[in-house]
Amino acid sequence: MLDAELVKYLPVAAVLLPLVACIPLWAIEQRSAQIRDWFAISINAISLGLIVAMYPTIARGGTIFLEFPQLLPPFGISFKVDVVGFSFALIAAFVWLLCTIYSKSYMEYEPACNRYYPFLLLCLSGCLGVFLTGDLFSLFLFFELMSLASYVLVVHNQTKEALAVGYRYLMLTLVASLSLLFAIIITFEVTGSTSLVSGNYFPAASGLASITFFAFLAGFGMKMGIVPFHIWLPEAHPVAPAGASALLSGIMLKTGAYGLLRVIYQVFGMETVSGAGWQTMLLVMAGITILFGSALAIAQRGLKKRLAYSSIAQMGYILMGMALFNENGLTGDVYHVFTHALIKSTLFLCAGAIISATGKHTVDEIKGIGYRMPVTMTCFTIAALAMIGIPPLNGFVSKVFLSVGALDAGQSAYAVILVISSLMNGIYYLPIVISAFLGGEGEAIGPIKRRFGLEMAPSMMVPIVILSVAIFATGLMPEGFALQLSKAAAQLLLSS
Amino acid sequence: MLNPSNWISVPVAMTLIPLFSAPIVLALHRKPGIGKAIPLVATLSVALLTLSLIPRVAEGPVENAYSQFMALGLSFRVDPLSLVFLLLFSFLAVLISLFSVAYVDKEGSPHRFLTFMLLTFSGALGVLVAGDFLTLLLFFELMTLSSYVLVVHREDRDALRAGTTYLYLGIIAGLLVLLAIILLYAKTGGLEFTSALASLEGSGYFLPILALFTVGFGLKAGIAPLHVWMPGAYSVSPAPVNAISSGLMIKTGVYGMIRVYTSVLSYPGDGGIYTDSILRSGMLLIWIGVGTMLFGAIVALLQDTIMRTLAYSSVSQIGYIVMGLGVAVYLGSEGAMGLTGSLYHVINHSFFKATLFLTVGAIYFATGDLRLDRLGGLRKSHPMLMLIFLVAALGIGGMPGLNGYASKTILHHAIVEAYGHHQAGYLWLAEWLFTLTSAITVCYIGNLFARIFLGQQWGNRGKVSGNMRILGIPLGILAIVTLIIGVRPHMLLERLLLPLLSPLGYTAYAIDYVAHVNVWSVSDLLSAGKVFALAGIIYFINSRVHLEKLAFPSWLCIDSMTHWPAVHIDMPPWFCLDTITPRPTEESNLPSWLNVETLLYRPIVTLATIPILIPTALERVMSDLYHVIMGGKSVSILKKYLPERSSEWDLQNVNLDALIVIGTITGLLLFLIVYFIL
Repeated sequence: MLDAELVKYLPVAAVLLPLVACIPLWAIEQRSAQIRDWFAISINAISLGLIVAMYPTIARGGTIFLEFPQLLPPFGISFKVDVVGFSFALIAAFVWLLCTIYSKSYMEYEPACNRYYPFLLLCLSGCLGVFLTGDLFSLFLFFELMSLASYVLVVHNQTKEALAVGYRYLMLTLVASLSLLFAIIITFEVTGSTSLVSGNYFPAASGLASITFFAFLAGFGMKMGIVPFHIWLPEAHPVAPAGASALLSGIMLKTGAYGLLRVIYQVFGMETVSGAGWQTMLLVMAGITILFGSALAIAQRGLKKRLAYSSIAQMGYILMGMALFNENGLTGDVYHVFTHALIKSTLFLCAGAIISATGKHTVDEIKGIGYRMPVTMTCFTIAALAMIGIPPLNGFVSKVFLSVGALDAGQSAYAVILVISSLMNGIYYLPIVISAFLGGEGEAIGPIKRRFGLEMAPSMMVPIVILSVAIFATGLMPEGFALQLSKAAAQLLLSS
Repeated sequence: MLNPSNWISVPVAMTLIPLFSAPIVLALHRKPGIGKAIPLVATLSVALLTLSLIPRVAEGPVENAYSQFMALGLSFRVDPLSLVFLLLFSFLAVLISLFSVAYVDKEGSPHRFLTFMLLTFSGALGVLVAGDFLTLLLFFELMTLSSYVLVVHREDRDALRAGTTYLYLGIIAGLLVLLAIILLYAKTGGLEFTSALASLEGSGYFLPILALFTVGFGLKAGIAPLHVWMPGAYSVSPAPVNAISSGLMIKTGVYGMIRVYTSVLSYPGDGGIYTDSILRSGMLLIWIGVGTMLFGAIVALLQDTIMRTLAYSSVSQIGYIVMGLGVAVYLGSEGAMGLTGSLYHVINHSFFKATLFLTVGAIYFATGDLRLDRLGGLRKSHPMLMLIFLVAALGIGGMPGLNGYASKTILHHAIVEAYGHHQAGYLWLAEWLFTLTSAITVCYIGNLFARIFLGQQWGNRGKVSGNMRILGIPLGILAIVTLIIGVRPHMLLERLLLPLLSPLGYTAYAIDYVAHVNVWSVSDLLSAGKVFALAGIIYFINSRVHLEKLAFPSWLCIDSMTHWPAVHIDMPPWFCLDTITPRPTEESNLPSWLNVETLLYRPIVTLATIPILIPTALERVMSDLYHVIMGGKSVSILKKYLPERSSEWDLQNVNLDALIVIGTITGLLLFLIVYFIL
């Protein structure tokens, strides 16, 4: 059992360690690529360890709070960890660690790795910072760090296409940040505080309140990829290296979702949001996002692009869950954050493995890949089935909670939308799986690069396998961990 | 919770044994001998476990629950109803495994086949031993996904195409059941097989739950017009797969429907077991059943290939079963006869249809050919096969002394009883159509028999090989069972079916009435005679007209009508229906205006492209808008919208199969609307 005083500093340490570690990393990478990789991995692992160490406190229902009011006046910097932030931070650090391990072999033949790893760590710091801070201003600070650092990951390949896409990403990120800053300043002006501890700053919907709400929505919605703010997402995610795309889709989108959760439940409060009719608007946006993302994913030929559009649809699920305003819906919502992080990162890592082994990017070119890369495609299949919501995988559990939540809220149309979207998931994932295993052994693919006699390097295979096992385990026995956290998070948000 | 005896129980073991032996078979692909013994051992042990359950179930349901799994908890339960299905499934599983082990080398990839066969068995058995709808759905999905691999076993173009339809409709079925489960859970907070009518009645959830369960399980069972996957899937997959599909998988759909109607939607025990609205849906079920059986039989008569004939025959026989269930629901607590007939026909259909499919498989094994114009005259080279086929054919035809007769007679009693009770709804017509369908059944199966075994032999046939003898064992057993049930029809009735009726809430009078049915009465024998006489007439006409050879003028064909503009007018590419409407690739001599697939689903598929078209266009506009704002490329973008149209519309690359599926959803929704109107 850790000392209570020590526990207070865990969030700061978890957030700042990756930030500070960039300096020694820079020194190390001038000498040895091998040590650089291991150093980055161990920093990640320590960060994960620091977050896990908060678990006993969180499990007891406590919160961890630490503030530095003297920093950056007038807002001050503060850290506050409750079960919501902890859940997000935990899954983020876990997936981050696996993706960093994966990058070790994936990036072996890529140029400019010395730039890749420091920015990966900066991004981690920003991402954890968003989840573990205690007020909107600190959140914004880390949000910016993450957004800007991830730009470098997106344009990593430095091709003409990547730079064009990166420019679009950067511009829209700036728009998002500005509207977020605008919203935070209004909040501060109105209430004199941006802390997430007290909450409920706007008791009734006024003109100012609606401007603030929409500015928040644009800021976080842009990061989340809600239609119509999604325009950067399907371009930016596919061009990044696989490890980074997995993190962009699996984790960084969730920072937007986290921000919106805080804004809806703690800055505005449920009464204000539903009273002003924003709940209906959010639900309609969610429905459109789900159907729009799924329909466009069907029309894509590029493997990673299809996955990116699928992410948009899944973010629609998460937006829907938070707009239902009841316990089942919110539980499903937080649980779906776990689910989607695990599934989408598995899919992106598998896609990366295929692309790096064969050099093929589109769905049609990889027919018969299952015979060359059985492990990869088995994991891909598990993740795809989970996305469709086949029991006993984790996507099923989140779908059940979200649907029951929709029915509890009296919005039965959204339960139907979920089912239709599940089917659409099947339509764009299953052809990949089917053509991989059936109908020819993929003569057109040609020989794949084998490493150590395996279809890919062990350090790429291990994360993929761990993630697929996690998909299966969290689906079959959700009570143990993820679902408990989700339930606690839902209760906390509803009671605030 | 950690009491070991509580962890593994017989029902759980029955589904876990095939589940865990499947990967072992795959792992042993280098040792063919042991690998092939495993399916036999697994299915035999499941059969033994089933037998060991008989005395325990007689005392009360065998059940146990695992609350820690899957958030809502899994549970297992075997009661008399599931025991009947379990006995049937585990017995067939043993025989089909034995057949497959000897047969599968003919088809290639034997280990993949056996692995997924075991997984399918595990799923099908799991559906039966499930104690709540969540567990049922879990195994239902396992069955759907693993049987897909069996259906596309040959991996050619046609197989993959038919498999796609099969898979997506299977997934749709699963999702509809899932939605029903979610509605049920949201309303009642539980998913056990107990009556929920009290809390559902009068709420808005009642009809959706009823409809979703019926359509979801009906898709799996193959009720017309939800049968569209069957002809395609049956004509491309190996014979044992068809036996599994007809004998086990479509029966899980029937089981699901019976389960829903006898548990969730009923009040067991006191007074009436259904509410008025369900009684009305009973009438609908009767007519769906009658329509399905007549449609299946007529279309089977029009087919020119063995597998398609038998596929439509399965559709038709499912119609009988659904009609029986409809009578049971329609008559409420008096409907014991309908349920008995339905269950009895489930058993009989599994036996004779499995026999027919496996015999056809043996013919393929021996001759390497299933085209009807290349077969013929097999009576000389394969007399035993002819005998077995004849037994099964007469069984399906309802010849007194073979198994189909007993269940068809009981079903006939049931429909007459339904008419006698209420004198309503043109049920006399249903009875009449029942007789007509039975006659057509005799006709198409007789036609098949004649074309395979009689007539001139085509070319030389090889010697009977060693494997042929192994194939003969399950066939012989099946034929003997068919005979035994046929000669002693009351044995099965008294031992298995009567005991399960009284817990379901049927009145003692109705049960007594079933117990005193004598299928050997003169009137019943006479009506069988009537069927065969009518069959003779139809057969005579058919032998002059040759319905299966009929070709219809192309202007009658829906295809040519919808495609005419596409072919004859110079349309912009994005408007061309030809690129977005899938064309039929399988050969079917069915005139397309009679083809439900074309008639019902094609227009819907065409319409269903709109949901993809609109987002694609919107995305284009949004992306361009961004460029206009951010990139200053307005001129070049505006150019794009001027006459020379960009040809790279994503739509043209849309997966056509995907469109089929979206079309199907729309079709299902239409079906639901029709259901509500009725």
